[in-house]
Amino acid sequence: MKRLLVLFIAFFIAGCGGSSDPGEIEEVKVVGGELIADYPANLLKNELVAQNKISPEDDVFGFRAYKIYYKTTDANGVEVNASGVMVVPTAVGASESVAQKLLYMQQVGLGAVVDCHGTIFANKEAPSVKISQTLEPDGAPIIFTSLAGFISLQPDYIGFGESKEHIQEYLIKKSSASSVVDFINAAKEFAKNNNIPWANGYEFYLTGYSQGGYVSMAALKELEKNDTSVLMAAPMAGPYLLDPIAKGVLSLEEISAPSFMAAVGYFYSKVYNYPVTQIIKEPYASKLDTLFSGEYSREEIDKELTTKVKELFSDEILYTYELSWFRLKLVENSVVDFAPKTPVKMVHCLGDDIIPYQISEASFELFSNVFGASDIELLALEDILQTSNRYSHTQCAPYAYSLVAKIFAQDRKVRLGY
Amino acid sequence: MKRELILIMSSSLLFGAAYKLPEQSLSGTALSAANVASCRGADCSYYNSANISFLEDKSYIEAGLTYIHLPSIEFEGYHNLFGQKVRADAKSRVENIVIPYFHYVSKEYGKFRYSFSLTFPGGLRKRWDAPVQKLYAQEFDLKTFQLTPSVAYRVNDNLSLSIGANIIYSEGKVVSDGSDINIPLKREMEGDSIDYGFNIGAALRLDSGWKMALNYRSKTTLSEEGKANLYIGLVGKRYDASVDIYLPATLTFAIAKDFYNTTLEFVYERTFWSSYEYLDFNYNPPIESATLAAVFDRPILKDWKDTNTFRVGVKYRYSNRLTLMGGYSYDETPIPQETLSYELPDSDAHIFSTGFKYQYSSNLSFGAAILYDYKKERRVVNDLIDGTFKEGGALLVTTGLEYRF
Repeated sequence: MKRLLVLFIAFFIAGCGGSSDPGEIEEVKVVGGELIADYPANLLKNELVAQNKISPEDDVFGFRAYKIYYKTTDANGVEVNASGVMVVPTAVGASESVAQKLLYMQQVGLGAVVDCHGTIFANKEAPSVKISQTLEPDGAPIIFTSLAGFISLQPDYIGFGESKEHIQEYLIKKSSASSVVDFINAAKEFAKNNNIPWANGYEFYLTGYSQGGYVSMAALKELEKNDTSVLMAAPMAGPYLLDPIAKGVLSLEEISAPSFMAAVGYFYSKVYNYPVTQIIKEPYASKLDTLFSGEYSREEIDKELTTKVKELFSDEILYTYELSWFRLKLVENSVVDFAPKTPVKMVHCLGDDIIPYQISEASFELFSNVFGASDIELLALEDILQTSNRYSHTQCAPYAYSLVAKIFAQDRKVRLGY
Repeated sequence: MKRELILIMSSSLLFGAAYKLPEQSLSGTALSAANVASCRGADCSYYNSANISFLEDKSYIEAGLTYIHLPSIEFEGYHNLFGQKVRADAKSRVENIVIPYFHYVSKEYGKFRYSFSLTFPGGLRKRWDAPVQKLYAQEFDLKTFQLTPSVAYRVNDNLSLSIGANIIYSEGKVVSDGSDINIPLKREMEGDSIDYGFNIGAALRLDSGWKMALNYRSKTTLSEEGKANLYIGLVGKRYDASVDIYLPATLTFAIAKDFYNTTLEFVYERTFWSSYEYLDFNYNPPIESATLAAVFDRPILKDWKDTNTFRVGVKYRYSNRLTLMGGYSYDETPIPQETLSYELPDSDAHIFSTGFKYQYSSNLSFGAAILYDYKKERRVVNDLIDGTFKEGGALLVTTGLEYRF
């Protein structure tokens, strides 16, 4: 009887032998990268319609993002493992007509846009990191890929993503350019290896907002040395001339977002091996290793700093800026030092409160009148929109991106027929 | 749309009144569980352990298997998909499940006697292959395995009291997938848990032949913990996941009377489903995707109601060896129309049963029973569903063996 009892209990236990684990995540294999988001068009469209960003009649493509790994070099010529994001339009969740349209576009070849993102300080805000975490569309690729049907490319920059352990090389011309140029080359290889139908010759458009405007201008100069596949550049609201911006900031009593200029001072000190205290006053100088460690966002950093210029910046820099190494490096790293051969549309808002419109005006004058660029245009966004409103740096970004997407799409229609 | 997705995909873990399975012995099946006041075998251990005091002073063992056949539930009607009514006719899969049971009652130890039962007191499996329904319940599986050790104390020749523990191991699995209707959100979730409750009972036997029983089973919270893989399109993320599922408290009152060679029993059962107000999944690390969080990580209103079940059972001793049994129950569903969905399209049920027990020797008896659970057709109109569920129900066949020594 006891044996029967044991057998019966064993039968029960065997019947309960399940698990509490559905197994590992099924991963899609890609060569040279990783699929990090595959968001359907219908969910995205519903979100955008609910936010009044598009109308229900607008076409929306699905959003498939890949993280691409590549190697680049930092300001000192040291090789760095880096990352960036390629976003490709898909028909997942799209209407029948959008799916048909995409099929045609894929047969002809997809146009591509390289977008250089604006200033971020937290690693979690980097394109590849943010999309990997949320699995959702984010940033400019929503406009360029999901609404306009381009392949979007966004480098994370040195200091983010795969290179998060490296110090950010903020507004350093050389490594800003190399991180973009090397990424574009890696993206072309990635597209080849994974059958992504990038249009003939892997041609692309180049843009970026704020820091991204600066980076795209730095990259354009490098790209024009060897690469003829950049079709048009549209840098937006970039600090192309760093010296006058610094002078402007140092001449003010107060600044609304102290993190920007503090970051320039901090990262320049690190990259060029000068004491941070030569630029930033205590107690703030001692906080910056932590604040710029990649953990904190701009908003969080701003709260830890003062908005009073005389309390944030050292007396040395306030009173002897003109003679300082800092000014010298800012001049060296300004990106208005060549004549772009590529058609360039500079976009800037008249109401910009962080990077004044006059910076683009002065840069435009230098490009066209000093260096002799022949195909360059400066577009004041409020004038284009025929509005009397004046948009701040933050307010301007979505309008500027929409305008640039429209400009690129018009050019694509001429080149690719759609 | 997110609200719809929340309702669609997060409402679907629990299995409804139907996950309570009171038929846990040969007599339990044959009598539609009207086996509380008049039980006279090892299965008293489960139905009302206070009654074990009145059994002959022997050890009792009963073991058996119940085959459960769940025919397709048919849905005819419309589904509200993104504000558009789409035709969503479908049939769930036919399910066939076999579950064992085991009961043991000891001899007397003075005024005490102990017992234990191994049962599967709840659980269900529901699978849909149709595109709309897959979004809710491509697969739903809950198993519960309960060990119930009890001790009874005979106060006097008429009254016995008992107390026991409910030790419950449970496993849950949920798969839902909207890919076939262009919503490529998918969840794969598995978890398990060991939880505890208690039961208390009283049995009264009057000299006039009346038998009465009162039994209370406590609510048990099954704190399922496991892993969840959540996908948007081809990309997924893995989380530690947990969710509380409730086995509700039940209060049972039963009265039985012997008439010559016939025993008649009535049972009233109150099940306190109203404790099930919300279904709330928890994930670690927290979900960072707004879409996944909206769909999978918000408390979902369930708002179930307490229910009444009425049971009647008849035992007829045809001969010294053969006992014939029959039963009927009326079982209310706890699920209000407003929160009913595909994972458990439950309705009020009429339950009919019959069976026999054959006394093979003085120690050994065996038997078989069959039970048919007829679910009433249910018309449902809520935010998501406008249609009718029909067919469904269940067919149970139990075979059991009892040994006394």
